[in-house]
Amino acid sequence: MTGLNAPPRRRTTGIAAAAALIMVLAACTSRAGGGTSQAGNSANGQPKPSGKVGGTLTVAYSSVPQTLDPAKTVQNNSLYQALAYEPLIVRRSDGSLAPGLATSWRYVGDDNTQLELQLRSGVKFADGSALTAQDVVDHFTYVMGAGGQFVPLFSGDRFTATGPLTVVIKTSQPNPDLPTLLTQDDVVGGVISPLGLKDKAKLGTQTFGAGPYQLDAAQTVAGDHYTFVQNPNYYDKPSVHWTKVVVRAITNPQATLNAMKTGQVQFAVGDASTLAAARQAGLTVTMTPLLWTGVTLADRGGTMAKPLADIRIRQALNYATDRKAIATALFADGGRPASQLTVPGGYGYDPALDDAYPYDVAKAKELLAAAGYAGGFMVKTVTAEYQSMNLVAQALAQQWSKVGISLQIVDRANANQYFSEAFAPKYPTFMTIFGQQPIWTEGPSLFLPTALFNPFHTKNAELQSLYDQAAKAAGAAKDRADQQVEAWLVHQAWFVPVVSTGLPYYATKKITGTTVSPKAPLASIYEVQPAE
Amino acid sequence: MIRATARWLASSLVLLFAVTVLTFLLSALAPGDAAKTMLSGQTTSYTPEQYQQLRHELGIDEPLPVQYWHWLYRLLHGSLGTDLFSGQPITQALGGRLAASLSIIVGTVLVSAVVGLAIGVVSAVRGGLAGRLVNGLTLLGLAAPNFWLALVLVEWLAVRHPVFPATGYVPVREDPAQWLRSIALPVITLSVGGSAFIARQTRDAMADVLSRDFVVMLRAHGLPLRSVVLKHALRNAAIPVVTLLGLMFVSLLGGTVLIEGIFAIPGLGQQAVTASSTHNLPMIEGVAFYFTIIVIAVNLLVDLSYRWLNPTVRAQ
Amino acid sequence: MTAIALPDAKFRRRITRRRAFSHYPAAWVALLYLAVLLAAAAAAGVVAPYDAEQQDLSQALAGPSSSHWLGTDRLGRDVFSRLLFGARVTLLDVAVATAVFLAVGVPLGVAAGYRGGRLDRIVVRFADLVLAVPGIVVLLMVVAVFPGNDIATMIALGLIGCPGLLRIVRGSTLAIRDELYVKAARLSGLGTPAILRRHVLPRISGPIIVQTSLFCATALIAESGLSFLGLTRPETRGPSWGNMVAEASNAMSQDSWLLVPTGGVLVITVIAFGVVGDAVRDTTMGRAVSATPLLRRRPNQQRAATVAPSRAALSVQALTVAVGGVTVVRDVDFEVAVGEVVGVLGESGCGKTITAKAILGLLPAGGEITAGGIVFDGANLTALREKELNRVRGAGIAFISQNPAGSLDPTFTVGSQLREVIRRHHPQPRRQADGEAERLLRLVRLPDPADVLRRRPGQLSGGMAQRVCIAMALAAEPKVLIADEPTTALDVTVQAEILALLRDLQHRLGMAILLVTHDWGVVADVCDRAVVMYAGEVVETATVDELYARPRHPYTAALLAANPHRANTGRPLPSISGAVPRPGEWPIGCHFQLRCPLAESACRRAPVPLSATAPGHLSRCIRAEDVNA
Repeated sequence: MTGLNAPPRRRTTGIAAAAALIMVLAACTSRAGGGTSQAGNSANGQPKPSGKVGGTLTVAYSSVPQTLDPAKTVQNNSLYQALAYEPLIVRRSDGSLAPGLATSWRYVGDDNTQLELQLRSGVKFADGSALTAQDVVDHFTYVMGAGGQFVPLFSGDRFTATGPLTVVIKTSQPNPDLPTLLTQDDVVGGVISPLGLKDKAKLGTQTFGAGPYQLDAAQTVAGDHYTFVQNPNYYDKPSVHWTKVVVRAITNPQATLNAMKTGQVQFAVGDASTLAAARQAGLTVTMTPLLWTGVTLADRGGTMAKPLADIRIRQALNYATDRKAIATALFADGGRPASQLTVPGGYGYDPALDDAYPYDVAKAKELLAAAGYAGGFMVKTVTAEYQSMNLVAQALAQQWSKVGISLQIVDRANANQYFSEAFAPKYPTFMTIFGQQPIWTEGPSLFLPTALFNPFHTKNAELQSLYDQAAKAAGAAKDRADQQVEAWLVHQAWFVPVVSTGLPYYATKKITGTTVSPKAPLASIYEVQPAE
Repeated sequence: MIRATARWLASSLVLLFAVTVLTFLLSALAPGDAAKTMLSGQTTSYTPEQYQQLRHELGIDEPLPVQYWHWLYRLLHGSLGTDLFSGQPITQALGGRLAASLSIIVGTVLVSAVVGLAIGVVSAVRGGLAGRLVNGLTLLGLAAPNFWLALVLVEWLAVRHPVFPATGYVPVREDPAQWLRSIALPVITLSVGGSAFIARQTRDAMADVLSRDFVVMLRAHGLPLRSVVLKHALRNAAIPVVTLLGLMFVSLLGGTVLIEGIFAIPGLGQQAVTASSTHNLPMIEGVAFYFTIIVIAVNLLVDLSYRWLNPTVRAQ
Repeated sequence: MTAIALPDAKFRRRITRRRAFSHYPAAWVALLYLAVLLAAAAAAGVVAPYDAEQQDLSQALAGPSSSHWLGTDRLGRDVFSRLLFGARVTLLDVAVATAVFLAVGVPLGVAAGYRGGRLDRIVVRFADLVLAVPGIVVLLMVVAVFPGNDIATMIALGLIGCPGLLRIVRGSTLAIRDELYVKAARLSGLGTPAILRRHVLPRISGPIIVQTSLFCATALIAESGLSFLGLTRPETRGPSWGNMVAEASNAMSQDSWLLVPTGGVLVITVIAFGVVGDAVRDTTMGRAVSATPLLRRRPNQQRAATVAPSRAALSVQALTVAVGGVTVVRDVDFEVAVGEVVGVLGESGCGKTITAKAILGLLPAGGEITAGGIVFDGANLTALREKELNRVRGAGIAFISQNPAGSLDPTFTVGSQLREVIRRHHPQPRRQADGEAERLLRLVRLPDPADVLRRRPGQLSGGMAQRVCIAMALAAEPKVLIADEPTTALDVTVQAEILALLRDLQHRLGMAILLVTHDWGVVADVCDRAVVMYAGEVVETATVDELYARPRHPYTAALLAANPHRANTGRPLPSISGAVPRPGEWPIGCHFQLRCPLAESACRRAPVPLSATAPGHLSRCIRAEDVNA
């Protein structure tokens, strides 16, 4: 989910890779308060539900799954999985968690290292096999062994069946957000049936879940459209809103828009380039900020680019960025300026930080001079062929040149090449798109010494201790601790965030239930239903 | 007859071999491979051991000639292998796509042939201002980028005035009427350029034929103009045009890539692009193989048409 | 076949009006555009109002204005400037592809066509293979191997495209190699490089330029297509037309203007290449600018009044024909009485064939009857509409030509064509037409009619083909048969047979024959009367006996004297010095004046009219009396 306007071909490879960047964990538990601001939540006038079961819902999605195997797919394609694989815990569109295959869950003890789940009784998978706790354990054994994208989420965790319908997950580190990892957003919360696990080769092209629908292979053309028909064994039939759901992979944003305008498709994941036109066409547009785009100044130690070791230089770069101009020109309605690594209403968000670096060329020059680089310097960055990442890089280059800094952009058409060069590391900085997530999970991926996005393995004791506190905290204290981590990162200018964007959803007036919110920026397909 | 067939078979096999080997080679030269694609897309970091392990599982760690031999072996047993990512048999994955691409290509060739021949004949017979007008218009038709045309046509004939569907493909088995509607816009888009091309070639060929003695002589015998032009001249002029239709068919194989994206049609072109960028080797080979089979079939058709049009002409 | 093709080819050359390149204004405009484009692109740094990367975010996606002539893109960069800088990249790409295209296609094509043999076979096989390879697969793979490297992609494009050029170059070289003067050059010791340089390359430069301009257009379109797919140079490396179009189509729903300048410049440039190629082709390959006008111009109603009625089967009165504006036949007058055989005699280029064709309205492109009339069956043929004239053809007046095999459609069987002609004039069921066809073939003394009907024209010998043509001509029982050099292409024995056949048919059917020929022997053999033509005029008309015994025109006399059959052995053969004046170069007065031994000042002053020197004997000479036999 990048909300990026990438040209068709690149999407199919890039999204897969981009998802590696973005591990969005949408929900926050009821214990994590988070910001109350509803900024960015645009559920403008959702039609009223009709309450009836609809015929066929056609959804357009720009990402094509390379495989339907939950253990091997990417989070970007969770939509395809959610329809057929019922997750242990369901994430609602308001961010709250609801029972799925698990009817209840609780932490045993008070160090957040042991989660006990009670499974629903009498559940049958679509293929007729019954759900037991052992199935869940076997499922996770397979997932952890498959080496897919979700393995790091559960690394070191042990899964045991302590009763016919009781599963216990023991984590090696305290993990306050474990339930959120078991929702449809992270795919592997959706349990594979034992029959599916027996014949793993079929997992790539068929579904073996307990969800409201199942894949109809006869009406499916891989890479083009996936047809899901009702699962006769579903445990909550009244909640199923459609007779059939067809997910069409349409990579061209214009084609998606055209399909919606002509009624071929009722629900689609949109794109920044067609946002204004979608609104004009009278489609319901829902979106909430989800990602930030900017530069990761990875070489804080100054090994490749000496100037970056100096905090004044890094701050100067932040001052030299005219976020407002970029947001308006390149994203219009679809983005807003971002000075922090999170979004309004997101984890660790502090409105005060939005003014941390107002656009000030004089100030930037001053800082540069103070650091001894009045004449400027050259720094390289690598970007992938995503339109917004690409365009932002070019805009930045222009703006930074005004204070004497020459940003040389290395453009990698092949997204995999971009990743490998960014994380090698081959360059001192790299363009970044990152999703907002709890600080607890952000650390290991973004800023801790072992994080992928910290290829120079920069260490900082202060940051580490702030992070540890946030990991242990709960409730309001957790929010404050999160904000402190955020503030540290902003003031130390380890990054130059530029703009925050969201993933727009388009819906025709015939459907409803497509709301999104800061804690649930991904629409829940379960709630999409016919409108009056 | 036997000898001709044997020769045709031999050259077809050589072509198949050449294309598939070339594809293998280029694939090998390209940086990265399927294992890397898979791993980069899934895990945040992976060890060299994991990488080698995956390469071994996928069977891409073997030397190229060995890989090719395996592929060939499977081919001779009727299988094109399986998709490295999803495990789906390639024949299954490509079957439906072949139908979609062929529908558009065959439709385009037919429409271009009919429209192009008509315009070309009229322009050759009338000459003068009409001829020059046709020349200019056809140049315009050839020059307009087809993806631009597609975008314009979709806007006017699908979105603003829902004459045709904006996206998607309906297989003919499912609903013949809807099938026609779903390929109409792509065919129209590609036929603009195609007709222009055929019209110009027809005009040239016709002008050539019309200056030949037998045209004058047949008229001298009192045969009506319509018959001389449409029955005799056109048949002679059609010979070079048929070759061009064959070439057009082959070039459309690539030309549909853009169109398929804009109209969200699940064709071979799109698959070719995806497969090559993800290093999905069996899929790439499968697409190359199908494309080449199509080329061979088209060439055969062209040859047969040649012989039907003029049995005394032996293709050079 | 080549020998008799000459007269026709001459006419064809005249007809196709190979004009100088300067006659194609569109091509000049196109060349000018391309030149300006190249210059502007080269000097982009100076000419462009903005730098290619100069952004102005507050002006993103602005439409055309005084400060930005073609508007701005998403980063507020000036489109016009970027098009200029982009032109450099794109044109360079096209140049690379074209260079490879030429560098591989031309040498290999020339080598294959000139050397022939094994090299030729290998090269052609290879070219066919490359042609058959699906280019898109190769291109995609090349892009995978060299991502973002458009030079590599363009080289691949050039290689994929060159077999087309190779085949054409090979074909042309092959044809040139077999031409007589090249053979002569080789025999005289001229080395291969010199031959290639002096004879081959200049001749094939025309087709090469045509193909190259087409390829440039193709490469341009291909580059934009690949950019649309995101397979070529990324935008961060600078603009190219391709990636500008790609960006414009991505921004399409936000601002549709951007597609106009980016797509427009592509379209215009492609058209420019195409126009140049067309013009070069028309110039060098002599293609008629206006194709054969099979639809006649509206007949001149005035001429209907100017003819005198005649009881002859065919009466040609003061016929004047112009081709391409140049008069080639002037004031031709003769008659063919019912049942008579009249020969039209003269050397190549005198206008006899044109006269014959004019009678049936079968003039080639650019030809028209400018004066005079043709009376047949009480009507003036020059005043008839096309449809009416068509009814005369075949049914009233029939025609056979000097190229019998070429007179038949090679793609249909003899039987099919014969039946078609029969049924055109006498609609009847097919079975009956078959019978009629056999009868006609027996009439022309073909031994196995059923077999001949099944054959195709290519399977007939010259003599058989001519008999078939005669049969077709007779299908509707015409009153007049015009035979245009019917035996020139045939060898002597067959010649005699055909002539005998014509004579026989004429007796039996009472048909009048107008026999066009350059051969005195034929005239003596078959004709009752003869019309001698020289340089577009009738110079003498008389019965054959009279003509032989008492020629009354210096030209006729000179021809007779030069006839090898009448030569005196042991003495040098007299010949006529000088050459025939070409149409457009006719002198005022007698056309023969420059070569005439009897010419005097009166001959040069004014056109000489035809006058009777004896009953039935006309001559266009003021000194007719002085001509001795």
